[in-house]
Amino acid sequence: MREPQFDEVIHAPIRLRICGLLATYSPMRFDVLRDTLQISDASCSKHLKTLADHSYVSLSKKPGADKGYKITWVALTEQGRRAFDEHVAALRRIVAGEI
Amino acid sequence: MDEHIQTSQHMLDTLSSDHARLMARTRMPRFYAVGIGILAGVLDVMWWVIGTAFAGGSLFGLHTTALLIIALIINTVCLLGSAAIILAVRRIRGVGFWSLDRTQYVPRSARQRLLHGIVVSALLLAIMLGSAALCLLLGFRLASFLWIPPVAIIAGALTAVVQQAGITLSERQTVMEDPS
Repeated sequence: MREPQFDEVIHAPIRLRICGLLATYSPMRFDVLRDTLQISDASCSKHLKTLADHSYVSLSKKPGADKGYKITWVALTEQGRRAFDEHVAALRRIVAGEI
Repeated sequence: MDEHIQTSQHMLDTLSSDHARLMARTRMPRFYAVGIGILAGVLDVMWWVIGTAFAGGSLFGLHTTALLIIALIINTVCLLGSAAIILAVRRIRGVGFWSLDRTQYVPRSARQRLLHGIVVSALLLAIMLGSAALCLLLGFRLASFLWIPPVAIIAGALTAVVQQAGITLSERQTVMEDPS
């Protein structure tokens, strides 16, 4: 079990949900992430950029099925997974009234 | 303080809800493992039927080994045909990356698809070659049609079990562990 550690970067609701989805299934396609969260392209890109700037996620572009366009794949890094687990542990501690 | 607790609880609930929705999309259809098992069983029956039909014969003056190779080629063609049917069903049902319109299930990466393809192909190939080895071991003259159903059922059931174990394992790997 991780030590609870509140993380300001992950705390934003959309970023927390992005990390939650990627902790469940990674790597994930950008469009799947956007559709699952029901947010706009711009919003999704903005939050992913913030997470990538902190090395919590990695972004990679790979050719699509018909090679005509590139698909962005998003993966949670080890650092991101650790930060997410610690943040969730902190949330649980708050809910339990231990903080 | 109460507000913090409520906000934190709401976030945990949202994570849980997202997790459940995503898991519902990563699950393979229930028929999948059973379908692959039945396919392996049917292909196995075909191998035995073709093999025993050719055994002992001297069709066009060909040697038995040549006939067995022909049987193997016919079965391989059937296997490829079955693979095409599976792909078509997957495409129509919206399974996988090569599906019509928007995929119903979460698309897997190229690496995950490759690994899955290798495992399924190796499994089917092992069943085919295992069956062939058993045929040769028993000798076609001894291998009456009585052998066909039990061997095919065992091969099919084994394939379904292994396939389902693979699906369960991959699903378990994606399940977010509860930190508490």
